[in-house]
This record gives sequence, C-alpha cells and structure tokens, in this order.
Amino acid sequence: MNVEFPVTESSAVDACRCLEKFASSISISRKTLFCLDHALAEYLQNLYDHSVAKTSKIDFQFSENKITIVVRDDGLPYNVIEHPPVDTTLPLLDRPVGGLGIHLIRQLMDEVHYSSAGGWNSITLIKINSSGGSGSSQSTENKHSFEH
Amino acid sequence: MDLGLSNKNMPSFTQLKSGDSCEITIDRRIDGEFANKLEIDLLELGKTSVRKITLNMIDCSFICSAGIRVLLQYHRNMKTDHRSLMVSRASTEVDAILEMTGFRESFIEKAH
Repeated sequence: MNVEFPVTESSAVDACRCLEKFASSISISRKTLFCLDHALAEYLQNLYDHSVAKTSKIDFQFSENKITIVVRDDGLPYNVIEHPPVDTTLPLLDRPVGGLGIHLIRQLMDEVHYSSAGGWNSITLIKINSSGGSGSSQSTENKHSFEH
Repeated sequence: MDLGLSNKNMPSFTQLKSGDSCEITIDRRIDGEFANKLEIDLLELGKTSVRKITLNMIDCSFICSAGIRVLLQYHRNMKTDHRSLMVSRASTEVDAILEMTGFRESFIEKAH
C-alpha cells in the first residue's frame, strides 16, 4: 500500500489512519500494531516539527510475518539512528525533555534504517509480527499483556 | 483494528474536583494535539488551589512523546511547588510506554 500526502500538523494522524487501513487488510497482532502505531506517529510528528519537509510518501508492506514501513520525505536530512541514546536511568530532575520520540521508535521497532539521496530522506521501520509471543528483546512488549 | 484516532471535535477532558484534589480522566489518544490540550488544562489547574492532580488513563491507549513531555514538565513544576501530579490508573499501553521511557516508577501512583 502506498500513500502520499503533504506534511502538516495532522500528518501523524493521517499516517496512522493509513496504517489502520493497512492493518485491517492483513493479520497482525494487537501488540504489533501498538508498536507500529507509536513509531509511525512519532516519526511523522518529528517530520512536521523539525524537518521542514513538504511531502511524505509512505509504503506499507507485509511479507513473511514482517511489516515494513518506508517513509520518504523531502525535508532536511536527519539520521535518527545517529541520535544520542536517551538515558532513562537519570533522576527525574536531570532528565532532558528531548529525544523521547526517537528513543521510542528505536525501542518499539525490530530494525530501523535510514538513507538520504537525491533530496529525499528514507527511513525504514521493520517490525516482526509477534502474535506468537516472540519479538524483539529490546521491546518491552514481551513484558506486557495487550489482551483486554 | 481500530486505533481510536483523535477527532478534533472531541470534548475537553473530564475533571472531577474534590477539596484540593482533581482527577482528570484521559479517555482518548494523547497525540500532539491532545498533549497541547492537556497542557492547557494542567496550566489552568496550576493557577488554582488544587494541590494534587491525578490522571486516570485507564482508557487511554496511546501517549506520544509530546504527551510524556507534558507529564514530565508539570510533574516537576508541581513537585517544586510541593504539590503533586501522578497517574492514578494506567492502561497496559500507557504503562508500557512509561516503562520504556523510564518514567513508570515516578509517574504512576502506588496503590495504598
């Protein structure tokens, strides 16, 4: 599934609406959708807040129980992979307020890749559908039940 | 699966005041827009005599980093003023995000 839309304050909601539609056409677990929803929303919000991108193009794929989302944008190059890690063990008063969105993207995804070429940035978010209970050891999803 | 995506026309958060305490019920996704609305509510409550604010987030399935920043900022502000801002009830999803960002122990009110 491919979508393209202008980068605006509603981009995160627009992208997640597309994810919702995509997810309804495949079989993925609630906790996998939870991770994709958060990561995609955080990335699109970062685009709007910091990248001065005008256009984003998103490609959703599902293959071999793995969901791949590729987001391309024409904003300023910024490699989220090189962003310094957030120290979540610092005392509350010492915690910086920035970087949490990128931290969440890294925590929630199994793989994150970035490239930039020809005036377009591309980030690839990969999540293994963990309906069987398996998943990334980095993700806290294994510690939580998403059954309601 | 329904993500419960936000609708701009949704009403304000429900506030239940009792003495110098106030419980805010967060019954929707806290995305960028509703993080701003929550911040406005907390800012206004900060101007009142309310000493303790609790957030009931049992029906909130999503909190973005902007929402967490609002909680962090107002948790700090309230604490500095010898007041408190805590999450009284958290959904599984909110609990997971707070744990992932290292705020779970600080923000979630311990049961007595």
